[in-house]
Amino acid sequence: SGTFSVRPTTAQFYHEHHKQSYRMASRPRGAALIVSNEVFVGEGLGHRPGGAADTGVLRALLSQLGYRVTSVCNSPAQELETRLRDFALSADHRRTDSCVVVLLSHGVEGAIYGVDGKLVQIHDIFQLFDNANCPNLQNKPKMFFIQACRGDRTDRGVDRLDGADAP
Amino acid sequence: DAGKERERTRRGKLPTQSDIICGYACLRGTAALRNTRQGSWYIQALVKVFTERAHNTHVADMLVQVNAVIRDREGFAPGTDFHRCKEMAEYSSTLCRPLYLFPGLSLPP
Repeated sequence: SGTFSVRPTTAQFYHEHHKQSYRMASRPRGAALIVSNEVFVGEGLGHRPGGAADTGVLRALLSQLGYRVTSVCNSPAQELETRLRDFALSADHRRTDSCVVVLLSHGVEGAIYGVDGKLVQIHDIFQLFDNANCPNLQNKPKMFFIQACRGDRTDRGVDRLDGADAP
Repeated sequence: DAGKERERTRRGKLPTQSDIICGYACLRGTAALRNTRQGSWYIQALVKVFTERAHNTHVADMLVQVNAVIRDREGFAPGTDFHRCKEMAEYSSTLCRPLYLFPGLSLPP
């Protein structure tokens, strides 16, 4: 990890595209929050080995993309909500052009687990960042990436019968 | 007062929620897969695609490319339920413009 480097945009590409796209010129481009739950208490939810690797590469990626990255590890549901609310309400968003939230945890459809085995609804998380609750981010792009299960079905796949679209 | 009211009307309103793009590692009802050393398939794909493409591809299109990477991967865990298993990623978007990240470019404020 950390051995990759993001290719920079050329000035020409910027000049040809920036008028039609979201404004993305602030430095930093925005604040990024990585929420990573790896060690769960109680029974039922196992340890998530590999979670630290995810956090490491995401940190490197987001900093190279120009974001100011903070991460929080192993939060119970209530704390997770508080952290996300504080992040959404941060006055820093007024001066930047976007924000990023990454959620790494166990989950079910529509919700992710805190390390205490309690759920936080994804709908409630989006609400913290909406135009009513987060006016500092109105008209600015908000990116979310969610690495969590949405059920317990393992997809066994189906045999590929038609290879026609293989590149 | 009247002036403020006119200004408010001119500026219009926004829906309660907009300008959000959300990438999901897997589809509704299914499990997301993770390599215990290298990390999750989805984050690995995300980092690879964004590293190579953010300079000239907008975020929604990069997430389409992430979908392709995830579609073509298979589990390797002989003797377990996860051997040759599959995952599919998706995203949902209320973005209203292309979202280019313009990495590495320092722009005047």
